[in-house]
Amino acid sequence: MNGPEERWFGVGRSLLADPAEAGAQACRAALGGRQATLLIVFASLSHATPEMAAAVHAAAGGDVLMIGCSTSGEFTTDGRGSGVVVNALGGPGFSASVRAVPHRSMDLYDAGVTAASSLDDVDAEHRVVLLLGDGRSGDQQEMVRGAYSVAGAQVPLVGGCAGDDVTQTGTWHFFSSGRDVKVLSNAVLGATLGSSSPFGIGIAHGWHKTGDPMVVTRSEGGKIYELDGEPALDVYLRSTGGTPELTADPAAFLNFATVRPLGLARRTGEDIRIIFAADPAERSISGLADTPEGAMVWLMAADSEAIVDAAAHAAVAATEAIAEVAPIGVLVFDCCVRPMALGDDQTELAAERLRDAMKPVPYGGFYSNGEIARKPDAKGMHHLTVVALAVS
Amino acid sequence: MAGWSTLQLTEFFSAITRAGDVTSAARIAVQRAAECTDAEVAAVVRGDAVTSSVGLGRDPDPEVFTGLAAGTDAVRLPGLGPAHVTVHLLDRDSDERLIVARTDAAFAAEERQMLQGMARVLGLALRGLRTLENERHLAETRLVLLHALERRERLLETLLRVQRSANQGTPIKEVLDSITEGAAALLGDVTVALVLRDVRDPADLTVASANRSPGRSPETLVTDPDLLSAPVRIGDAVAGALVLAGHDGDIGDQERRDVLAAFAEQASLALTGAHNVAAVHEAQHDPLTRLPNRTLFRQRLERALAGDAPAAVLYLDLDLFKQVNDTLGHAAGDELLRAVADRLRAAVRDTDMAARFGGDEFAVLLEPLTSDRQAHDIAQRVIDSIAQPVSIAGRTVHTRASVGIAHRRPGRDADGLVEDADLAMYRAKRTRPGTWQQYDAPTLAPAG
Repeated sequence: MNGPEERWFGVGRSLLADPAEAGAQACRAALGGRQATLLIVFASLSHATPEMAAAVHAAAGGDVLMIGCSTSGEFTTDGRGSGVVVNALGGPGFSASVRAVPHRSMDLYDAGVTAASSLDDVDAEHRVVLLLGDGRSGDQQEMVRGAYSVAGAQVPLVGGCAGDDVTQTGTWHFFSSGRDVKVLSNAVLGATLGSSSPFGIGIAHGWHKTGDPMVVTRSEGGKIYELDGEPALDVYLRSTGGTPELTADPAAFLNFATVRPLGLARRTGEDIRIIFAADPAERSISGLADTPEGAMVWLMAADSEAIVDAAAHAAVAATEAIAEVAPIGVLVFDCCVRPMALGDDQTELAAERLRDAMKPVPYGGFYSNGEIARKPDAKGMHHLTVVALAVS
Repeated sequence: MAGWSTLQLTEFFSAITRAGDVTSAARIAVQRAAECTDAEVAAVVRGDAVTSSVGLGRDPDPEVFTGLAAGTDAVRLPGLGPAHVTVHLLDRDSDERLIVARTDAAFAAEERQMLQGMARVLGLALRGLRTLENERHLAETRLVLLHALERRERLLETLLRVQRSANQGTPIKEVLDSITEGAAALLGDVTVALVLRDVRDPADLTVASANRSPGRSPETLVTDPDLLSAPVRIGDAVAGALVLAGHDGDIGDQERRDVLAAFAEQASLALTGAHNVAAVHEAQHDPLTRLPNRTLFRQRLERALAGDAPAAVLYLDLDLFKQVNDTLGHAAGDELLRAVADRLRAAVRDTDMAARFGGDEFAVLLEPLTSDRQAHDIAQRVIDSIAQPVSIAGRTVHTRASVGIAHRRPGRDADGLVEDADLAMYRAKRTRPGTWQQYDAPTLAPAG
């Protein structure tokens, strides 16, 4: 068991209806009476209130570093739910520093620079920068680029973008650099975590490319007008087996298209682009991120086993990346579209597989709006992906 | 993979042309160059100063980079250890260079070529931006400057257009023509020609493309005293040169050389890409019928089986092929196979894949399928179309196909499914040649 002289990682969850009560309960469960170095809070939109943030912070003694964000649902060893999850860690060898960039106070690149400058305060053998962004505000890859310009190749970047229960209404971030607690909308938060023991990162998605490549012959930003010289919507429906009726109902199209993404050619593998809307008048389709003209794309497919296993695979890869040291806890950032792709039963199965794979290591995670992992073989922002950080 | 690097260059061009000053252009360049090669570290170095770098934190020791000259391929990076490195000059008259380093694998020829293309574009962009920054105050040079800048902007636009057409699967000849036309349009009254070595006889040079210049034939270029040339490569090997003759008084020699070099990189990329595509196509297709071969068929079948959708395999064998070969000769046999391949292509759907496995054996992957019946219909269509007489060397030749059908079933992999279809074909051939048979999985008797 973890005694007072050991590093520890605790996860607490509460589904109480009152946000503040839930926050306090989750925080107490995570701490178990210990003094935390850093709190990482995930709360559903229903619970993402200033009262919740203040209650979590107060339950940890009222003078503690805290980052957190709203979600599209959370999960822990205790299962999935919509409430509050508090991850806390502390003990000898851990150190932390935090930064917050409010919405639109600077461009996203500079926001990334600021978030990662939390590294300046932490001197430790092993360091990682946790980033909590907002997938709704522009190109988050720029934010990751800014953070990488500070962190460099030696310090991995990991994290996710805040969720809003897939309502597209807006996200919240919870922050404290000590005594004050702030709740910010559409922000970027960074936390450097230092440790005398290593961190591990895992990434998995379970999608693969299918059929022949297509060339984006006309596009603008995230909107694709033509594939192989034909209206993009026609090509997309034909190659996915979708019916023209789908395009009349935006919600039905969203459900259909989010699980049939496109993949952009990369040196190793593909960048996934989620398609979320169609315009039947201009016969175009829209993706969540820029798909440049001239790009070569594939339709991506997945068998449900591979998607179900992705969360467990990412978490196991993260723990295996820590050679010879036992992990004490894991943070998981799981794309909010995956539950839509899997349906409820399979999502439950994915959660069970993750739990079985992690036993007895505690973990806390949330369904995110974009996943962040920057290390040599990963460019930065990911979609339909699971990213995990193991702490030892 | 083919096409991957040209896409990256397109993105790079678009990003660089949006930069408003030297610092941000260099910053964008190091980010993109590192990201698209999965490299940890990249830098732009000028003399003893690092204009921009990424991967070693905010203030890396400049000496890590300034000591790296063109041609260096290994480096030890602080904190990261030994790494592969590639160094590319931004233009030929300065030592300014783009440096990219990664730990996991050496840079392939295609990647180095792409990075060289990026370096050239960056060099042009930086020179334009520096001129603007340094001489903004000199009113008398304004007009000249503006012309130079406009030309540079047009250059980047032209390069971008060429790059896009290369990405969109435009025939290589058209891409090369757009390169010579594009370069000539920027340089005024000149002739630009792409001269390539003959594949069979390297001493023999041919003009692969030249712009439409009034009154000058590319063959007379060599007598021009102002002739400039820049090497064009396929992979690592020099394949020829992009040659410029003639002179427009407005444009300085340096700029002429720059433009020529930038377009020569484009030609190298386009030719290397086409070379790779041709090589990949060759390795995956049957040279006689141009149908996919067994290797490509197997890959596609494996991909289909990785998904959930219903699919089936047809296995075909020609019943009377041997007789044609024996009585009319191999040339006639080959012609028959080509005719059968054409009919097979026409009888299946766009989404299906017909392949030749060798000899007189063919296979078709049917995907997607709405019912077993659909597979039967397609098999019958194939049989009917192959049964139509073929005219070969003035004679009417009859052949017919026996077809085996195997539907995907749990636990059966690609090779297994082809075996099933082969077995069903064999049954058809033995019982009623010229018909189809469906493979029925043996049912296991319940254990007593």
